[in-house]
Amino acid sequence: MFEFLREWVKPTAVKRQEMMNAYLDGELSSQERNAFERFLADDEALQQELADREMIKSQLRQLPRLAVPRNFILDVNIYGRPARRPFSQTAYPILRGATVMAAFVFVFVFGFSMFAGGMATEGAVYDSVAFEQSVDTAVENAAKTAVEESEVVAESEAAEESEEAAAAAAPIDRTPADGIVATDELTEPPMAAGSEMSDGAVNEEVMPEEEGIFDDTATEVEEEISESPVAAVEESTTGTDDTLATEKTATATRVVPTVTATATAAPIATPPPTPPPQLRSAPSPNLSDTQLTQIGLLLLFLLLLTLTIYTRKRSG
Amino acid sequence: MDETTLIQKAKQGDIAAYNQLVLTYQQDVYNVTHRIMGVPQTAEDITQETFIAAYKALNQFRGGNFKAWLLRIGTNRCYDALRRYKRRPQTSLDEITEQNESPAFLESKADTPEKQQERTDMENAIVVCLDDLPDDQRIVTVLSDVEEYSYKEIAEIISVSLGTVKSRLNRARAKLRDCLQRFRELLPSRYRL
Repeated sequence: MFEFLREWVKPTAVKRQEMMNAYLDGELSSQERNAFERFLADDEALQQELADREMIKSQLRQLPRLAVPRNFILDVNIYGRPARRPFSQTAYPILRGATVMAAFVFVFVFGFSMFAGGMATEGAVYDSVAFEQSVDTAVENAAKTAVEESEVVAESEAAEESEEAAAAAAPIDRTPADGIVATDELTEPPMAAGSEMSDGAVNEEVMPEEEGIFDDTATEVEEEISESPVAAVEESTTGTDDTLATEKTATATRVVPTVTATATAAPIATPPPTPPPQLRSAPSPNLSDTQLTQIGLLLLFLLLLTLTIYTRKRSG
Repeated sequence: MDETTLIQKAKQGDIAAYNQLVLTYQQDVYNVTHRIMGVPQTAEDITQETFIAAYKALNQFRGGNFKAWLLRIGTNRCYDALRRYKRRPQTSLDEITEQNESPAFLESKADTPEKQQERTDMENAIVVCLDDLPDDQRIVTVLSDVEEYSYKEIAEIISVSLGTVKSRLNRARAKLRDCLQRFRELLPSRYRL
């Protein structure tokens, strides 16, 4: 289309010159040649210009044909039939690209997991603080409950013991030495057994982090309980030494199981502190998956790197 | 063995068959590049590059005029080289020495020394005027008047329309006429325009 427009707007003199060139070069049809020759016969200037161009053309055609300085044939050793490319040469660019891709993916996944892991660690710190606060509150409540219950039980049992001691004081007739020995023998083992039992029970019920707290609490409760009945018995005792020994024995045998029961009952009665929901909802499964992905990508990257280096050495 | 068979064998990697084609067309390619570039060493380099490039691109040849296809590659290389030389013009010392020490009359033994000198002067004038032409007009002139290709073949080689070939050739001949008139006093009477 542009060619048509250019031809259309071309001046007549230029069109005539182009026709003259075509006449010289034998590019005109017979009709065009006849028309141009008729036009040429009436124009002397055009004839002169045609003669000049014909001379130039002939001079150009008479330019010597240049001999080639050498043969331009291709070397068989360099450009010969291309041998089949070895596998290492074919595989090297592919492996190199795959290695780069694996490295990029590994860095991306690693960076993403680092970012996500940082966010999860901050959440875990906040959750652990809340968890410790809730544990402290639960331990304090448990200690208060245990102390109140032990006080109530000790008071009621002390009253009962004092009444029984008063009623049975007259019929007992034994030597004070026997009674004291018996009292010592009877008093110590149950205490030891009771303390062991209480420790064992507490250890089974309480979480490891709270073991010390519950042990202290149980010990305090035990001391208070073991002291208060004895004091009540001593205050209420008005009889002989035999009576006192008997009372001590009875008190000891009764108090220790009570203390044990109370001490063991307190942690059981107190609901164990449930782990905060934040910790349970922490993305621990995702983290493990991410770590597996990272390890897999790292192994893949190392494998591809090894293969790439190997193929590069093979391909030279 | 005909050209088509040689081309098919060369496509299959037969370098001997391709070298047969090289031997057939190397003078055409070298002459065109030499007339376009005007420097023998550059023409030699471009000719070699042309045959190497053609061998590498042989699978892209879909038939037709193989010589025109080769010359298209050669002229494209010439365009690239001319663009480079325009940025960094350079003249080889070897080329100057070669031109001064190898006059045409020493090579030809057909004419008398006087006639050889006249022809040499005219050739030098033609070459000078040809070199003064713009690159696109010089290429068309070389292909048409030196190598005697048809307008259609020239349009195919340099990948332009037929009208562009006509207009470039017309402007080139007009400029050559003007240029050679400057050498009127130097040329013998039979060469004067």
